[in-house]
Amino acid sequence: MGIFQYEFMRNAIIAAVLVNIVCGIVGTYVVIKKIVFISGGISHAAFGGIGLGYLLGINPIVAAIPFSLLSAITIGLISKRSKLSEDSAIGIIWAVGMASGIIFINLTPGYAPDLFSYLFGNILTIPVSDLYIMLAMDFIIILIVVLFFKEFYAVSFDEEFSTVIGIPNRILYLVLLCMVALSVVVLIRIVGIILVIALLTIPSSICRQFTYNMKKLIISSIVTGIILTITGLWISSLLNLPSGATIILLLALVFLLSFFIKKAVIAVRRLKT
Amino acid sequence: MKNNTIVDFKNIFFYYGEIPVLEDISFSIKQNDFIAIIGPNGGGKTTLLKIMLGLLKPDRGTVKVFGKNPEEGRKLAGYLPQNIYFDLNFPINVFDIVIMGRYKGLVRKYSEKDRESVLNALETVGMLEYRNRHISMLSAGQLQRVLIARAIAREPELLLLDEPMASVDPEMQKSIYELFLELNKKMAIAFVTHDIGAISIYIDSVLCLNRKLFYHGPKEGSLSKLEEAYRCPVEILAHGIPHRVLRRHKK
Repeated sequence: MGIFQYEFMRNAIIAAVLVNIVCGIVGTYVVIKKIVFISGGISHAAFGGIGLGYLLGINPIVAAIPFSLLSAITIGLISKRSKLSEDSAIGIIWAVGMASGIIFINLTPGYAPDLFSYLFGNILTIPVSDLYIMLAMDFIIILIVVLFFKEFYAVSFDEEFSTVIGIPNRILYLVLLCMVALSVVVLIRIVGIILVIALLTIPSSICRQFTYNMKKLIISSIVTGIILTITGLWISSLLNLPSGATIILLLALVFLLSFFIKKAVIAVRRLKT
Repeated sequence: MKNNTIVDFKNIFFYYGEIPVLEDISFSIKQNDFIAIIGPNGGGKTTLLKIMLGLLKPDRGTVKVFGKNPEEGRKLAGYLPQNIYFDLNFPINVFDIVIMGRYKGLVRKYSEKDRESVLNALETVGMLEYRNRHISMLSAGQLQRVLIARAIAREPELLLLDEPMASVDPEMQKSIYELFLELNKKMAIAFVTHDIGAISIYIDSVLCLNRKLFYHGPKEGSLSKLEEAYRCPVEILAHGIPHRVLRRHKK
């Protein structure tokens, strides 16, 4: 475990904790509301914003924030209001975001950043300043979810009934998509687009098999995410593999195992009764 | 207070695309009314309820609920949606479903009184002992009773139910109808049903709908209009023998 004594490794571990707090919270809503692909669309659209940032010569993350918020709201409005089917809207925005990002980066004079690092990120090269941005994000998202917990819960379960009892269902849906967009933007440079989707989806999918309680689900998703991210990091340094991809494969492996564990749990309970 | 109008429809038209679903519907629901909304499939019953609740906007005409727009007025309504598209894996148990009915506004926490009302509502529908059960461990009829509890936990002044007896077994149906009669002393109730047999026992007025309003009034006068709307003799409908409506009603 000698690797953990290095500063970059300590930063990576702090990042793993902060990232998974965001992903555990937002991801639980993404999973129970079945908007994984909407989130995927928003993450890829954010890439367009990053490209724009390079082209304009400003901080790519700063440019990506309005870009991905805009794409989140566009997807949200299209999916609720228009006749265009939701998954078509996602597909279009997904592709357009990636394509424009690549064009923007191509048009940028001089140094062209590596597309690959945005797909998979690099958790080992996180500057301390990014840790502060992530900390701020964690606070914002925790605050929103704590304040509007029962509203988000009700809307996720039954939109129609929530509307009738006076919960601003459309606005909350857009707020949720904007939370997804914000998490994605802040996390892209650190863990990459693909790992964002994995961290939003897999920990909650693992944990929902073992608890039916929303608060426990959120907390267990955060803990699972943290443990698996750090373990993945450790394995990747042991085997000298890319960190992001290793973490994803570990997440997927544990997800697979969780099915069998669930089966075993049920079998044991049956024996007891 | 006896004759206060709660819901008022004036010349409502509603279209899905170009297909007319409701044409020139005018009626009102008064305090203490207990109304069965009946009519063949596709007759516009659910649409009518959704317009009352402001979930759908009519293309023409005006709706008032408690003298206000439906978006305002619906705050005093309890609602049981039809047909369950719920995700049975959703992390929620019976108690948490019903307490949603007690929602009062942003950031307001559920109180001890809210919790009591939930337990009372669950007791009335005979689901108290299931209060900690996860949604996936309920039968369709049990879930329906939980959703009825959610609607009545709101202590509404207007209770709107879309096919409340769907998947509920006959014995429980009887006790739910009796519960509605009891609740009806405190609130107006309108519900969509296909169970014409029950109307003769429990309900005092009928609203018969097949794109147009065929009848609205006391059940005694409704039989011939029912036949007109359904296009088949009421004896067949009333005895619950499976029947087919041979052709849609033409004006």
